[in-house]
Amino acid sequence: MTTRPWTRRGVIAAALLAGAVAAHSPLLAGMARFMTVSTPLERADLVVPLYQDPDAVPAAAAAVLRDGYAPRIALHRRHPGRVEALGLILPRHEVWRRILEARGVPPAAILVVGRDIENDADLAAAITAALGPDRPGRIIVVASAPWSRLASNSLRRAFADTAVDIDMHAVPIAAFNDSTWWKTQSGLVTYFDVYTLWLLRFFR
Amino acid sequence: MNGNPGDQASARTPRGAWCVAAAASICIVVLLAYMARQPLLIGAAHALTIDDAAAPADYLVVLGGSAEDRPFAAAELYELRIAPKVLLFEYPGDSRQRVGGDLSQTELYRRVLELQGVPRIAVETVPGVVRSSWDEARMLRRFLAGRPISRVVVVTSAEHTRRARWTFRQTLGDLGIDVRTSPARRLTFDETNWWRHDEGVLVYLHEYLKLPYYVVRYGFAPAAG
Repeated sequence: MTTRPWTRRGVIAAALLAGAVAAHSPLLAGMARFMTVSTPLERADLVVPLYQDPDAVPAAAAAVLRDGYAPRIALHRRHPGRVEALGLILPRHEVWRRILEARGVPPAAILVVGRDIENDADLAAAITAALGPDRPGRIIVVASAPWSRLASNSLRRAFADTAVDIDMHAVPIAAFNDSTWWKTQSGLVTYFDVYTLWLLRFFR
Repeated sequence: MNGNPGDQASARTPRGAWCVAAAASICIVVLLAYMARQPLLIGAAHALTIDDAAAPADYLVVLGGSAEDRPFAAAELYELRIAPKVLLFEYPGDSRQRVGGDLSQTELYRRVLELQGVPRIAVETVPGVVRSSWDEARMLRRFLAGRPISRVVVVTSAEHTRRARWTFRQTLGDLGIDVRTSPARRLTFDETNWWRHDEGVLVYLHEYLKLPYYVVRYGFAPAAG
């Protein structure tokens, strides 16, 4: 007696579903790991922390400096919003300067670059200018792990026409990790956002 | 049982044709949607925006989460005499406050309002720390219960107005309070170009996920709960 096609398809679909349920942990952990880009660190000219997780990223940038991978940390001046323009909040680089100093980074080791930076192209221009135009250089970009692939892709494009090499240093977020992100609301939102933007940029 | 191979071939032909027709239909729909993407995307954004603020209201209720636009919009409504009082909420602190860099969100809103011409005496804070729109609605209910209030205007970001109105009507409806909303426009994008900005894509997608989530989660929740 032959099996009906729909029965066979149903069995295959059920088997696939059961497999996905059984293997959901490694699959989801793999999704998180895919978004994490970290390269081996080499001696560099600057550490460039991205304004993401204000707890983990400055701490990691300070540690990279302390370990002797670079002599200075570069913060960038972003385009001020309305509230900052009213003088009600400090510019982001000033907040991060305080955080870094609280983490033991000497004031002389903090460099502020650029003005009115709104995107990665502006950031690349500011960093290149700070290193010296046409001078080969290397930077260590410190980014939150879930955002590190997007940052790496975008910054590599922005620095493509320069002589600056990029090392990526991805920092885990305290609230969740690769193996638990789907159990926390912040993890779900973060990876939803990251994958949405990754797909969006892929199709753009 | 189909014993005859000729019968099987004739049975496959209409099914094959059906599959081709279905694939062609899907392609046509996708193509049409792509060609009409701009009006569709604008329509999707407008579907979330509700602007029905009307005077006289008793309070302008400014929701948390976006100091760049919401308190500025509230100050404009105050100047237009939509309501004589502005209500703010209390929020949990964040790490930037821990290093002394910034004011609390409530104080930030208050200072923006002041700088935009709203007198300090016209601004009140609803007691109780809130973490979500539902919390804000519940705290507002407690604050307004027993007061002779007939109308409030909720001020929030444009994409949030539909969910905010649903939430506040769900919570305040039995008190007989008329809930209206007024959208605070962002500086970087609006309904006509949100899909060109990363932040725009994320906030509209979030809103389309949160709206049904709120209806399912809170649709049957007691208003006073």
